[in-house]
Amino acid sequence: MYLTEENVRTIAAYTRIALADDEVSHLTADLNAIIEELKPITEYDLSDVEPTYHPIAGLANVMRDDQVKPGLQQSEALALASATEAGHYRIPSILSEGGN
Amino acid sequence: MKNLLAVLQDWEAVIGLEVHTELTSLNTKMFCSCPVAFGEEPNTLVCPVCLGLPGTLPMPNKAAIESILLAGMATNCSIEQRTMFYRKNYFYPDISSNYQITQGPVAFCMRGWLDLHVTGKAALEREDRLGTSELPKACASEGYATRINITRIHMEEDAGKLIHVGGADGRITGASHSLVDYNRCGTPLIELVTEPDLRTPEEARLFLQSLRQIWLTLGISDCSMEEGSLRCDGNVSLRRRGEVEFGTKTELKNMNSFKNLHDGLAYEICRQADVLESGGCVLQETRHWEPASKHTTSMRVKETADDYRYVPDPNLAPFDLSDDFVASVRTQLPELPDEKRARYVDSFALPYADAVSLAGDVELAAFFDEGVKRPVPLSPPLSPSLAPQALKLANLLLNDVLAYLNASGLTLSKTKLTPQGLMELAQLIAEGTLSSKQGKEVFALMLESGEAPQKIVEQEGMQQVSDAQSLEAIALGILEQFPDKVSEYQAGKTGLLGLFVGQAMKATQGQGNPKLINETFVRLLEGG
Amino acid sequence: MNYPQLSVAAIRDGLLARQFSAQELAKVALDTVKSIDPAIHAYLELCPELAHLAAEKLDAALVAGTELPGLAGVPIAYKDNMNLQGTHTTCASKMLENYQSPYTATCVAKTLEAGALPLGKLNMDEFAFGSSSETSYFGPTLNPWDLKRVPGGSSSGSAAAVAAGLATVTLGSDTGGSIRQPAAFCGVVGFKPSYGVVSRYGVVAFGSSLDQVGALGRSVNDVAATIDAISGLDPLDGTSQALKAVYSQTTQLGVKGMRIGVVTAFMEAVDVEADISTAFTGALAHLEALGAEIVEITLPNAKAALSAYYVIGPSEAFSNMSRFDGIRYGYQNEGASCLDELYEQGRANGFGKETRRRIMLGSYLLSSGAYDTYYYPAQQVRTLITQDYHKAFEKVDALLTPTTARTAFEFGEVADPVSMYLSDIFTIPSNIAGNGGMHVPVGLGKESGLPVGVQITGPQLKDENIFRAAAALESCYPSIARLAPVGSTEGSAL
Repeated sequence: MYLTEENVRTIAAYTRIALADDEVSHLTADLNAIIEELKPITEYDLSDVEPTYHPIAGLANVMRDDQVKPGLQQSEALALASATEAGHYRIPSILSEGGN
Repeated sequence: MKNLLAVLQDWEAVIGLEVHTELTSLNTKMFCSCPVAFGEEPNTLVCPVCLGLPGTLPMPNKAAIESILLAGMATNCSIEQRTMFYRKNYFYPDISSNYQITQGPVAFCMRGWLDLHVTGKAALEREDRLGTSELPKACASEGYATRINITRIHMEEDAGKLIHVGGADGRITGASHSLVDYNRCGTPLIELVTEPDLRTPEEARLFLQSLRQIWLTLGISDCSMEEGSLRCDGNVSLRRRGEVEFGTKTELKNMNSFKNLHDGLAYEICRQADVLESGGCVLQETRHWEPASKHTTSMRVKETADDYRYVPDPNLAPFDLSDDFVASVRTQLPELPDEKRARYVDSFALPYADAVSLAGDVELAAFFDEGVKRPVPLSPPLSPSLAPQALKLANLLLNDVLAYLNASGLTLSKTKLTPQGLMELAQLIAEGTLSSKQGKEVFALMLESGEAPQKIVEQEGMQQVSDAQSLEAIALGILEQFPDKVSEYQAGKTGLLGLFVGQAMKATQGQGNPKLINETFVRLLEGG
Repeated sequence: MNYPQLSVAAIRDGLLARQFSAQELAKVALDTVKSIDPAIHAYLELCPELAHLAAEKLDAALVAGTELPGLAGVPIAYKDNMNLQGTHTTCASKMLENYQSPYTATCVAKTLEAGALPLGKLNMDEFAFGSSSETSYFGPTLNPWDLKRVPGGSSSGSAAAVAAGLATVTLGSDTGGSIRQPAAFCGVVGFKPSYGVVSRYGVVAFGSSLDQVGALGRSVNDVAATIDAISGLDPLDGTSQALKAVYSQTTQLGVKGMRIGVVTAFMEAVDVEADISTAFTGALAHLEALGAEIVEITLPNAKAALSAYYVIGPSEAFSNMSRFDGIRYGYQNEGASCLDELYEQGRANGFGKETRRRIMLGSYLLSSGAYDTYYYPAQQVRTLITQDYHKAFEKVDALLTPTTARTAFEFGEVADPVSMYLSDIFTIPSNIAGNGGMHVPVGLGKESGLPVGVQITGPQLKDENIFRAAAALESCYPSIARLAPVGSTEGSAL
């Protein structure tokens, strides 16, 4: 067991995904089974091995010029949203009832 | 609660700052080609990239990278040529992709420092240091020097803005809902983090002021604390004098002016001392400075460190800047305030305090440098040293010009003054062609018309009488008029000199050169 | 003339010879989808207006006598994680059910500039998390060769549409085999270029260091023409590359003198179906007969590729998926009383089970502690795998392997996530190392009666090697069926 149900609840909260109680137990089992399959990479001697975050070796210093290009109209941007108000995106109260 | 100076007798404050600066001088955002601007209609400076629409990718702004390198060079940092962008993952509605692109363990600029010269009243918060370290010789005032180490300066993107609706004073507490504007989202932002090397609120204020002067000199930001393009958070803890271990720190936010930075830190130091002296514990928390009620309130208690799941951003190729690239940026480095100050003292013998003030104001300093570069050929010819004229020019800038700018709300470039014109005025005063009083009149007329001072002098017939022969004739006439007073003077009542000079000024209708008149009377009365 | 059988070159010739107009072609192509797609559900949306608009432009160009661009008149469709202004981009998710992008992906825009006729958007596994289309919120796509079976995934619709004659070529994306595995299951050519060959701008990200856009078609030449049209440096994608190769010019070069590597040890470690081993052995014999030199090589660290992939992929996906919060776009849980409720309920309801599972996994893998145990070592293992390939490609010009260990499976047959993940074992290493790979069909398996084929991989950013070998191999199978039975219906005549 790598993860307890409590761990899974903590991860879900961090990741902003609500989980039903029965899903927590399923997901805990699934995740533990998957993590078990990750074992091979923990068994390597990797001292002195550099990580590869970017697959194209040597690709570096990619930059653009500081030149304005047209973007979206306010109406185009807001048209995609579910809730808007006075040219803004509208969101519910950031603090929950408990005042967190 | 005890006051700050009393608290600092027993406690040492340990302060570190985090300074965020928006690179407002750039045309576009950090990772997209939207304009950087303040005060536009909400959500009008946005595109698929800065709105975090699905499928978009970031592309770094080269000018922003150049700017942060300049910032690092100007603050004595090592420039890290091999570095990367990371993602800082957290959910908050002002960051459109719910991760902020920032830097990891290696920032573009690492391990820098700034030296502070703390003088005058500001030095009183640290009595123990008075006179302990050397200040530049020219600095006559009492004080001390201290080096503040800079941990790093990293490149990141700013968040959007939230408006909280329905609560009191636009605060998040009690708001019924909030509104999001992404215009600012993605604005290039540099974050400077200091080591906990600051010991007093005055040092913190001075550090931020020095930093602001450097950023303005580099021209990378407008550094407006009011509009939020320069923002400062502070970490504060206390320890008993002589103690080595750090105490528990609090993080202080909302110090959006130099005064608020000082007063917020001062209050927090006193509050912590109060807590500790009454046997309590300082909680590790984020606190909010309330300038109106002059106290700090708790925003959030930190029980565990936040886990932001930092991870290298796979969309952004790493940086491996060439020596040539770094060298070409270094050639763009302008003369910095400290170098400027030293030059003003060395080349023009400006008083230290004036040199500091002038060097710290980019616009005034540029005006000064332009002025002394091109003195107008006048008759009689200039003295070999420019010092007297330069001093007069500095005085005009720091007194008359600054007063006018403050009163009018204008910037120097918006006035009718020119560097050459102001230098000409400085010369006319320094050489005695105009009295100080006449100088002020000419200055007022220059502001109105933009005319050159010599022309104004001619038009107004304001020439100061500096002809030694005619002044001597006038002086002799006056002495003849007041034989009694001459006897009294010669008997030791030298204060009567003022009477003679006053009479001579009257006779020349205010246009006599007071210095020369003075000298003439002294010579005549004391048997020259 | 039967439209589904036309190649990119034949369409061009037909247009130039005035055998049909682009408008006629567009109409037939759309009608074919309308009549056949209900049986396999490859499409999520049709865009007839855009298709006719493109056709109109092309017909005008024909009249004007201007030179025809590379994909002139080619009916094309796009995986639904690619933005095309004027259509939805759903990623087969409830989260984006109503999302219409205000911009167009670079790869899609390039097909339009090349004169292709956009038919619509194709089904996929939700956000590309899956290998069977079973995770699509809109229901699965059926394999045109056997409707009981999955078409593979995640570019499920992209493979099925080509196999069923519902598009001449399609675009897909491949993070761990998502083009090549469905191509194998549906018996079409599927090519994932080297990382950087095609811009990713406008393609909804899964694992940004693994994702690559590619093409599917019924022939190597059709795919080459498509990649020629969509590849190249894009100022909006900092990882895209400027390369000189013209792939459609390399398909005629033949395989004589090429060194083709085989990795016996790797193959022995995996339980490969008999039909697939037979296909592999046959293909190898053909290549040798054509004058290729067969060289035994080793990829000692490839066995860890799967583990590395299941760390890197979900970690990047977790971060990429955070933007779906319902505020600026996408599914919003209306009536949430506070922000966290909006996030948590919206993401719980808007994402399917597999998507939630991958996000959770990635979130765990990047948390402090797990980062050092899994994420960082995975990126180090990636270095070892990349070095394996570098060494191998010093000795050979291309590698021949199976694409999948087995032929298309039945719906519901592979239920647990781990077994599903294992199905990408042969395709994942090239995503990890960033080199290109292509599935080349070689007919139907004797035992299964289902499509089988092989995978050819090449050195990073030298995808011309793959096209050379693949075209040569393809020429050895002139008479295999290129269209699934479901595609051979009437009403598609021009």
